Amino acid sequence: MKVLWHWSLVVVLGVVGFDWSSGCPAAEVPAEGGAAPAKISFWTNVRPILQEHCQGCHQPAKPLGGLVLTSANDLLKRGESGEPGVVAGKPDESPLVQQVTAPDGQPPAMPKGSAPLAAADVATLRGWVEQGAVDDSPTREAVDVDQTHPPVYQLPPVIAALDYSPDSQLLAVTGYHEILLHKADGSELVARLVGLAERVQSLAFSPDGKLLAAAGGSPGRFGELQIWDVASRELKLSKLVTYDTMYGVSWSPDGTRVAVGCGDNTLRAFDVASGKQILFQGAHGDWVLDTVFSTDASHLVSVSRDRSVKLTEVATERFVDNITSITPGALKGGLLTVDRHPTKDEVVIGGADGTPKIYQLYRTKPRQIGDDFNLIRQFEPLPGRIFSAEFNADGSRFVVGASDRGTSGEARVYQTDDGQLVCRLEGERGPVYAVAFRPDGQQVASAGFEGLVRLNDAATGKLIKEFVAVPLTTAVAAGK
Amino acid sequence: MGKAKQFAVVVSIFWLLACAPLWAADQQTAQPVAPEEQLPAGMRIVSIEAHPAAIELANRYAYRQLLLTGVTADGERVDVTRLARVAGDCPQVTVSATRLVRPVADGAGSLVFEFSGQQIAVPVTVAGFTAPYAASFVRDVMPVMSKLGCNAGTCHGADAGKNGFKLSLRGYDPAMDHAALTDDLAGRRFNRSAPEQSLMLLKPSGVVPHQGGVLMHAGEPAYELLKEWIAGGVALDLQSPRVVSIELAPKNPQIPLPGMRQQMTVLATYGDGTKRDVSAEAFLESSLAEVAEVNKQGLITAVRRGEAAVLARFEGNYAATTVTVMGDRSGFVWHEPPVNNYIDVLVYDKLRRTKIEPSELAGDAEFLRRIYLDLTGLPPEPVTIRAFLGDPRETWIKRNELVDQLIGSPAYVEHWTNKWADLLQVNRRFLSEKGAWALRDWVRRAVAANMPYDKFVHTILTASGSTFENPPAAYLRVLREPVDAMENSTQLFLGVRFNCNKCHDHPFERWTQGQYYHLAAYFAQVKRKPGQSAEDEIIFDTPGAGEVTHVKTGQVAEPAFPYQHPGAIPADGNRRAQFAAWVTAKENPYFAASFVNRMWSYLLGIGLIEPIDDLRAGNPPSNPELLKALSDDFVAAGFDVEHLVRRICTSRTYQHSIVPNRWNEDDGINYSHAVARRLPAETLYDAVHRATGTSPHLPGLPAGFLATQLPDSNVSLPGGFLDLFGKPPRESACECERSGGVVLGQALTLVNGPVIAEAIGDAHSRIAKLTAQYSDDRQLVEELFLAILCRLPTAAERDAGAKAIQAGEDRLSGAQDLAWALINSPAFLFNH
Repeated sequence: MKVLWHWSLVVVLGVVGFDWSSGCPAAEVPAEGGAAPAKISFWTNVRPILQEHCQGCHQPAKPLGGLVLTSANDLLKRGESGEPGVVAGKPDESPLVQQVTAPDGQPPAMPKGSAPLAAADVATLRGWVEQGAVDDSPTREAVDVDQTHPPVYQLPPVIAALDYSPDSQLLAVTGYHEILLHKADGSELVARLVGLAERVQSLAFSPDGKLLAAAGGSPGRFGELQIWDVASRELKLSKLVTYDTMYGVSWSPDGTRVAVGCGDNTLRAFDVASGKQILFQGAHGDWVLDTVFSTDASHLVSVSRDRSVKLTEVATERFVDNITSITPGALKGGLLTVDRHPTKDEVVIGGADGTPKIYQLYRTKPRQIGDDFNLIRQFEPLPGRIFSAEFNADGSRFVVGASDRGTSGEARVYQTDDGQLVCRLEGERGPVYAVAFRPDGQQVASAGFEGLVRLNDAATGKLIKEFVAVPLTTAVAAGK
Repeated sequence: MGKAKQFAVVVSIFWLLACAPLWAADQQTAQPVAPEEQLPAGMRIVSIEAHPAAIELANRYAYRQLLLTGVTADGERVDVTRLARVAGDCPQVTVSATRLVRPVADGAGSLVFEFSGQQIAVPVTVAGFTAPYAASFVRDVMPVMSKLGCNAGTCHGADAGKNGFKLSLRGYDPAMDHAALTDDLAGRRFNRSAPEQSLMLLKPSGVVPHQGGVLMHAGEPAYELLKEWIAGGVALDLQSPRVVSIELAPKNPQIPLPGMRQQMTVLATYGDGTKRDVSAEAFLESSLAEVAEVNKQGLITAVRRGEAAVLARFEGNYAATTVTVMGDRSGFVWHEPPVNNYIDVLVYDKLRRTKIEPSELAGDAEFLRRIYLDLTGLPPEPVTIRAFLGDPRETWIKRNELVDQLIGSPAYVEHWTNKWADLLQVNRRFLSEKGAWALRDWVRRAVAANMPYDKFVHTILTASGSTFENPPAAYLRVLREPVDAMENSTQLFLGVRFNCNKCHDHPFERWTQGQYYHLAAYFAQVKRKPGQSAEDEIIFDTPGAGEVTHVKTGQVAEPAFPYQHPGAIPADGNRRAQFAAWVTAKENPYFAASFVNRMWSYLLGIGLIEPIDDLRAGNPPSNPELLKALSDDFVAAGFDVEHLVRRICTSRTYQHSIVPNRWNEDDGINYSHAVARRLPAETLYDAVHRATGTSPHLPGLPAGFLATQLPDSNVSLPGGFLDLFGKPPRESACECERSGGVVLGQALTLVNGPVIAEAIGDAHSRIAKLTAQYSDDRQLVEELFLAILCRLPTAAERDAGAKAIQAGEDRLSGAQDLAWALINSPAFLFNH
């Protein structure tokens, strides 16, 4: 139920305050100095106060004092002090009320560094606790985007990820709250996989093509790992993890596990069949944005906004090495993408410096301070930062896409072994956030800021087709 | 309608067409207007003026902040913006409690306000209210993010950003901010498919928890503008006209009484000439919160009598004005004082306006000690004092004559040489001992010759060759990097602080990071090589070789000046010569002004602008007319420093008594009375020896040489005397290096330290001689007063002094005790 509750929170919050007729926030609080209303609602009366004054510091991402104030349920949990935030019916024993109440003319303890709550707000909190601290938050009823009510678009959303099915028949593209399955030649939208996460950041078909993994979430609220059955279009697994979107989903070569990068700076992996978390590594200093398994699945490689490429031993969940140099100054900007050579333990990485680089995973000599021993090859930089790179099926080439300060973009195909530029993809204009190499090697797909998918010849770069991935409507949809 | 409007993942133009009111926001976020606000008792308003006189609103987001000013029979102006009642209907607009006028419907009408029996009508025209509004990133989004505080230094404007989201500090780089909003993490922060689900709206409105707080709500203009920009496709319109200037109104307002208020407005002018009211987005700050506070709505509240600068900032543009809180001045009557020169005219003009009565003219003894300490760094000798006091001529005649005598005298030369040696960092650590002496000697010769200031600075900036043979070349021996030479030169010679710009645009002034590197480029081709002596260095230029690169872009920064003036700059010649010509031109608005302000502060104790090396729009002079007149006079006199000093010292203003009256005792910035200044370290040291008639023994100098003649700071005195009293270490040109403060250690040193004890206890001191010479204790008291405090004792002081002498173990120790007490009195320790 927790999953559903979060979902409804997201959705319903979206409409609060859109009450044009009154010109005031929809939440009604008692008039200054007036008596608290007869029946105080958590949803209508209490939640807006918490939202305005408390949640910045007491949220899942930042539970200061071990206290979370984003749901009524959380209020009943024990914080660092060992006490629950609220004791139903007993405001004087409820820290929530005590902390915001001014003791004998002294300023109240909370909110720290801000003006005290208005007397009416304190009265509302007190009254709600007195009346039994009832949670009247709405549930799933509020949701109206789902498989039977797919999103409606007037403008195409930014595309964050693309992936071809192993048989080169399908191209999965991210939408808003959904994944769109197109025929690989762009001729037809064959399915829409509507899910909970607003944003899908990463897509990966399983090695056998039967499953499609997606990592994403709703920014600032939750991360979600989705596993879809491609044939039946069924959601096999929805796993909510962390308080923010997840990134960089990748499959173990045997198709039993997936890894993701998280906004809490962790690298995690899950057993696909059970959904159980099987790996947790917290060595990164910033968000983990992409992952890939080694050829034998013994290790995981992760890249992060902390600029490092880390090697993790899967069996022990241990961070074992920094693959690139970590000498201060050697790392420039965050890293956004990693892909492994299909047959070798070598990876291509890309990020803020725009330079694609190939590294071997395992060092054969002890680390010397300042060395960059694992570096095999650097390629001509692309303007801006690289968001995505993918090898072709035999690893002889890779496609890479970049955005230059969000105003323009470029995508190229490089020869892996000699560093030669094979081609620039024709027709690129806006920032490129996603690229994919069709497994049959004939075409590459790219997409990004503009919300367009481009299909180019992989050898010449010639533009073959360009299409909007989502169905657009021109109808003006009035509010229900 | 309630919450009937359900969520739909639809980019609806519904909200574009919905003519919903946007004004509720102003009333909700506005601080409550004090209900007790009223005019001072007895003030009668005879007419009301409105600013602007007519309101035209061209789109649904346009607004005007109205200012209503009441005028009294004798022309006093007072803010009645919130006091005036809205009379009648104007259905086209709504008016907030602070009189911010926003549109609600197209059409023409009239807003009528009424106060104190007077009425004023403001014609109103609203157009385009229902038309779709194309929100611009540069024009609409950037100011909103600044006003919400998103790009503040404590939030996402921090060097490392916050929580992974980084904006340029105070929004100086729209392209970077646009990329942060649209490109980071593949467009995480906006959602054009469902604009209201954009993280950049959800976070600051608190829907998604935001540690920075809840900064806006749906329905408010800030929120709706951001949403319209997202729905319009998050375009970056760098070609959109930029703000070129802002105007703060009203100019120099006066607020009658503490507790009363004054509404301010800010009008921005864009590059295409359009004007826009930005009162709600501009930032206003008060320089002195104890005098006036200003809130987010641009409403000033007077706290106590005084003056404060109010600085407005909007999109990298700055404007300032001075607000005066008059306070209760009932009973004040202006008596026109005599004037000596234009300085007095301009000072008294301000005093009359602010109802301050100047102090009396200082007595002859008071003046004599002051002028000696200021111009020569030494107190006058008793024989000089007696002669001056005994001179029967009219006081102005003898005072002017004395000023003429002192200017250019040997002691004057040493004193001002020491001052310049501070500013030019004469320091053997940088220059070697020989080099330090050489530079000090060069300065001394320049001061002695009264070298015109423009020539002095030009010589320093352009000097080449051996620092031993051509000492001013040492300037660029000390300042070894182009950026350091540029920062130092602008701060020292222009009073402009460019150092913030090294890493980002200046947070309080229009200077940009680009300008910093372009200006530093003028020093990029200066090179150094060893001289004949190992301790020497040779400074030379290599035209064409050497560039400065912009730290952020990595591009070469071509030499360019941050502002232009009509002065002549040589087209060819090395870059340094161009820089020197630009700096020292009489047309350079900062060059003369910063120097006269500096000299004024040395002589009057407080600059017209403080700090004296921080000239900028947001730091206005306390008396702009005076600063301009002094600058013009200085330039007209050919940058003649002695002329400037003479002009200041012969003004009546310089010669005000330190004794205040009931009308000026709280004035600290308008020169209505003299201010006490602790003697600078060297002056104090020299004055102790001069007063006691002893010979200083300074390390490295022959006996009898003065502290003011020391080549640099690298001398250690017993008890660290000079350091303790703030002699600057000469490691920067900042005036702040010299401390004039008073700390406990100083008191202990004065009471107990070796310098004073040895001077008083010296067997050959003046005290010993006077004690032997004068057998009459009361006469001895008089001589000690003259020697130490430079004035005759009062009858009571004479009696008390005689008693003190008699209380000693013997006469000499009694006289020494008295001398010790006098040296430890503020009358000795301060210039007053």
